[in-house]
Amino acid sequence: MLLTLKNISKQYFVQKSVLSNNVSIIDALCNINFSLKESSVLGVLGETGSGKTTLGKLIVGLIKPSNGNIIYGFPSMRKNVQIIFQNPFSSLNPRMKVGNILREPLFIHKLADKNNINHKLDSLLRKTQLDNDCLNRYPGEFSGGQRQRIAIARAISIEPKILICDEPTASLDLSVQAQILNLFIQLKEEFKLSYVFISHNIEVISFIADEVLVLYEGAAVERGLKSKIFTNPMHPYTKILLGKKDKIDKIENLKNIGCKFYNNCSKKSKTCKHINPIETEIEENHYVCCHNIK
Amino acid sequence: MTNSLLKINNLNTKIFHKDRIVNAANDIDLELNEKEILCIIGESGCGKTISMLSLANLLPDNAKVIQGRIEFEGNIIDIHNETTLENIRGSKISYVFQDATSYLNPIFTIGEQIEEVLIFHNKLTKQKAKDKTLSTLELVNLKPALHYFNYYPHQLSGGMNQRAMIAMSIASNPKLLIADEPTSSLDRITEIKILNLLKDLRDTLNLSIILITHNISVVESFADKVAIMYAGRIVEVGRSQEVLNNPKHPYTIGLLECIPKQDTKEKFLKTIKGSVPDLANLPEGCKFNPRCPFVMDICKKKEPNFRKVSNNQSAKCYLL
Repeated sequence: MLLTLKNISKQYFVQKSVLSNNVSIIDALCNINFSLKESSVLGVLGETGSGKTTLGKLIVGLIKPSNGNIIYGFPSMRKNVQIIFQNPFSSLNPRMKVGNILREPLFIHKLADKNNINHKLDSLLRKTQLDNDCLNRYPGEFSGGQRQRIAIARAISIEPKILICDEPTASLDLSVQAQILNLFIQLKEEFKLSYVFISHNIEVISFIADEVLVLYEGAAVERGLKSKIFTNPMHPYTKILLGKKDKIDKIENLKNIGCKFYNNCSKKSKTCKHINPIETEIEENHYVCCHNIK
Repeated sequence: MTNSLLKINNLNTKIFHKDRIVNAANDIDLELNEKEILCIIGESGCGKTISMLSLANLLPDNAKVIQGRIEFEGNIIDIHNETTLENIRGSKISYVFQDATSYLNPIFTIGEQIEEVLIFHNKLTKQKAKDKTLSTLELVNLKPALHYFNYYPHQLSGGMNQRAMIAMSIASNPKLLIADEPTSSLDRITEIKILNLLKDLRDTLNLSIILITHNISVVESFADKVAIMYAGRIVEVGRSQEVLNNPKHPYTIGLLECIPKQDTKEKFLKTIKGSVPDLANLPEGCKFNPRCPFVMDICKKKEPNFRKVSNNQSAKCYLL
């Protein structure tokens, strides 16, 4: 296994006001388990505030989990896990030339010296389908799609094993989104990359992912092979998410001690209100977190 | 019979920069009936927003409507006459903008901002305006209304802010609502809730809606009519079902093929090669010709006109 997450939880503490000592706790993630195989794609699906980005940041090591273990299948996490952020307009330093943006990680990880750096950059640009003359320009001179390519080039320059993609196509047009998704697939084959692909776009996930993890309010309500989840969704939330569009009217975000989906669920029972369900394997490679599915 | 609400003929808008002139909207022809929902689709930089802002002359200082005839409820709107525009803008035609959180004023409560619209446009008294505001907030499902009346924009989530903005734009009972990517910063479920809200409002208030979007999956479930824009022109227009099931213009075909599909066997997505041309420096002839897979000699010389595919669908392409 390239990456295994065991019982990962993350809590944020928010001070209610500057003067009081009252602190409220936000459960951004609770008890997340999954593992990622080599050259496969895990799609993380969920709405705003469901903890998708927190999950990405945890895997890259930008934040520490409050509970649980992340086990990497390789020695150096810094070199082998890279991230691409959602907004290419704010993830590239506007005062650095593209050449310097791409050189920096190579020098930090001592993967290139002055003699072979130009050769490396050339092949990097070719792989991400960028022009050679872009090295001397600033990020501000590029369109959204090209900037995302630069961000991808920066991330793959040190040949990582896992790439976290945090909504990489959310700010792009349809035709550009298709180009970038194709690039992801090409790179996956060329470098034997694995992706954790975070998105709220169901079409994108259904196209690129091998396995799917559905998050709701920080809990993994369902996970498993894409083919199983998309053809046979079990959890009421996944059913709503993948189902007909007009059924979604009733979702409200109210906190509950038991199952997080209790208030919106059509199948709720007394147990659901007080006890948080645990993940059960209902068929091979298909896990659901619900009391009412056996 | 449904009555025609809005007719746009031959609308041309240009943006003047220091060194170049951008043709943001070129020969836009559109027609909208009462209670109809029209979606305008296109990539960014295709002139969707500018052509709709031209209707009520809300353009930036350096942009100007060069020519065009706009007929609203049977009357011709003179876009250069500010006094007549004032009677229409906000009270008859109103806008919902993309990023509600930055559009709402952070130092006034939601309620105060909606009241202001009513006092200015409908000349209501303060008390009547407040009553109307409360009922409008109920209408967009911000309940209890009295509670949300006193909220500031930063206390609400993106979806709620978008609802508040929709409340603001429908408060004065407009005939036409122009929504410019109202859901692009929201996630899927909030998006569907907002779109369902707009659909409900269409039925309860007899609204017509123009929705600008670059998300085709929205169109499928939402629109009656659809217009596809490319490089400042409308390249295909028609009933949404017909256009989506039977697209004729190569650009429409390309856009639809770009959507990832679940049951596809192919490893790569089909893409439209190249990128949107610079509007200040457009190619000769059909503006799509450098990216078109079916390009012919005539495409590079002369721009095509609309040709009818059926009664409800027409496209600008020589292939038809």
